[in-house]
Amino acid sequence: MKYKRDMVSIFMCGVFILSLLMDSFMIVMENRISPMQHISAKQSLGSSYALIWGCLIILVLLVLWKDKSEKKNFITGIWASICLGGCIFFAGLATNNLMVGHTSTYRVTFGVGIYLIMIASYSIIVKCNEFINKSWKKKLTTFLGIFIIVFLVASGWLNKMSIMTEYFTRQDKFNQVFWEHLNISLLVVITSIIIGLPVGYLCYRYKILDMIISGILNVVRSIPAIALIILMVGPLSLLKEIPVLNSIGISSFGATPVFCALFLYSIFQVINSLRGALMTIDRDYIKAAKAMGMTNIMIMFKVQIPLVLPVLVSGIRVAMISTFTGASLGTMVGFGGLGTFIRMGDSSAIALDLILLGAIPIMIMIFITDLVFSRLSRWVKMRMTGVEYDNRYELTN
Amino acid sequence: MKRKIIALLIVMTMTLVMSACANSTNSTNEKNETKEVINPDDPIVVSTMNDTEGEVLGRMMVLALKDAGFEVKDNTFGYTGTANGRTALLEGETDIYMDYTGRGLSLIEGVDKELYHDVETAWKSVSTWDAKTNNLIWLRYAPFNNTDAVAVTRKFAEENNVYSWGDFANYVNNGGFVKLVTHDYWVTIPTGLSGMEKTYGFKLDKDQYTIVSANNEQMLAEGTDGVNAAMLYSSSGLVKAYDLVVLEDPEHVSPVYSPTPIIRKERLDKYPQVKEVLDKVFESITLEEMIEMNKQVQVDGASGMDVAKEHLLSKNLIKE
Repeated sequence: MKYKRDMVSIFMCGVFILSLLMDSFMIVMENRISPMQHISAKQSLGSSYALIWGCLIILVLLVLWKDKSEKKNFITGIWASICLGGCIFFAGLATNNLMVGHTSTYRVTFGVGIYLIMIASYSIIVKCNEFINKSWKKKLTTFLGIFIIVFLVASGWLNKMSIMTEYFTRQDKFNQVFWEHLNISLLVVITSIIIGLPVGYLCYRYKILDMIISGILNVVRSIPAIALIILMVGPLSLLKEIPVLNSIGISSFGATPVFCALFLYSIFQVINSLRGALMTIDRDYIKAAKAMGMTNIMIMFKVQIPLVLPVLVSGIRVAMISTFTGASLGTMVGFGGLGTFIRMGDSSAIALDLILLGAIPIMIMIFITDLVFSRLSRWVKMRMTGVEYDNRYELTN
Repeated sequence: MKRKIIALLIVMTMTLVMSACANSTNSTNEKNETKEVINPDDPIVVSTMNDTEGEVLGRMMVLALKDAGFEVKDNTFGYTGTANGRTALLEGETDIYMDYTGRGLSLIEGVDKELYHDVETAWKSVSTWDAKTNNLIWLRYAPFNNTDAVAVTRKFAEENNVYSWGDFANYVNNGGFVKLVTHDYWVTIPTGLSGMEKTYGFKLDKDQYTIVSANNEQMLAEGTDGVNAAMLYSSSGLVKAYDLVVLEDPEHVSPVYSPTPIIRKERLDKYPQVKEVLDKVFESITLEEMIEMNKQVQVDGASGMDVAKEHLLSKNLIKE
């Protein structure tokens, strides 16, 4: 098959060029609430404007040069990845340039141009990965740019960025709510796994239990989280009158209502995925196992669990993601969590950076969870069933 | 294989639980390192509403109490609105909660409207009512009024000579263009828009106001969508930042909202020194200072803690 030129990458190079020429490379504000002023790349970068053009020209040449060969695609991918990290480097440089002669109330943040460059570089990486077969090479092209960004953030290169300014003024508070958020989310998911697995199995075995439990959980799941957390306050204030419960820390405000509400959502997910997966197991497997003389316990551990584990892992993944987002509502009932920052950002004049400061850590948590659990689920599936590829029907040409 | 997975899961669980525990113990240890505390292992829980003023005043209370030798659990910025915060107070989940005299008055059934005018009488009636019915003690109020108000831009005020509600009523009745942005509750409550309309003799049509949930001041200042009047809180920092004119209310339709810490009686009886500490803090704040502090948080992006500390240091209310 003749190699067709990679039109997507060429188009994305065009986007890259456009974003350097366009008006809005960086955004500056006199203070947090004043109107945004857009600054072009040329104005904000000063003398290093030529450098970013250099990076771009190399990228364009690489894109035009590459064909189906793995090596060429790898080199192009690596360079695109460096461009991805590099644009953050240049943003830091531009920030430092723009902050000269201004006090700490002056805000500088990414403009549309930076985001466009990030999208363009990432698309080129994805296109290059299509022709790369080795897994480590794919990983390198994908993560090199992200590593550069993480390194730049850690090294303090971006410290004058508006979102980092907000972070440094409220560092203690941020660290506190971050750990609160993470701890309660993990606690919720772990408890719901520990309780959900036996309950889910019992639901599969006994129909009457199934009807009761899934009835309750279905109703609970249909209540929006924002309402459920507040609704929890009523029953909990009755429960805490019981001295035993009160002494173990049950209270009607704070962590308890948040925990209870998120726990119900999370356990719904675990029970449902376990029970649903068990239901789909072909009866013949169990009959065969029985014929071989297995007891019920053996069937459970040797047949059923291996078959449902991949589904269960992805169920836990969904539970975890919904818990991470749900925990941000804890700020309404005196718990804290990263929702505090989101609330601070929109309590009067909208301060976008504060909202982002609350939202980005949640996004990162979800991203990492997703990555880890999709790996885990693929690995589990491979170990349990020996099937290495995704069981997905794809159109091939 | 299975054993490996189970072992791995157990180890993961253990480390997570351990880390959670380690975290919580760390934070308490740090607190104990300070000087001798009056209330060891019985911290006073301080909560406020989650808005800017709640953050600043809450941190002030925390700092002042810590300085006086109390162990404090800082739950500032914890609750959305009076309903949640007050329930927490009645349930005993928090010891001190800051609320406004006007909000307190609205809880009393059949309250006399005459009480709205003066902060002293408002405070007296709400504090006697709350002490009698709910065992809650209202401490000293801060001598300023953070009421629901409507503001216009300075340019608009000068062009149309609108400085008070009377002027505004004239302007509306003469057919002037009005687009008011407001929070939803202010339209419905009797001390809000409807009260203003009745007292000052004007009527806004449905298309002359828009209900929004945040960002009123910004919309007014930038003139988004033709907005030329905005409902806000009179001590908002944005009044200063945008140079807005808050309409005067000579008939006192809107009650006096003065921030006051409320404490549960049993806690005050146990630690009577709290009153003295907090009274000094709240007496020290004027309207101008509060607006300036709110502005520093809302506009300049300072943290509530720093602003509160600066104020207390400037008034010699804490050492360090």
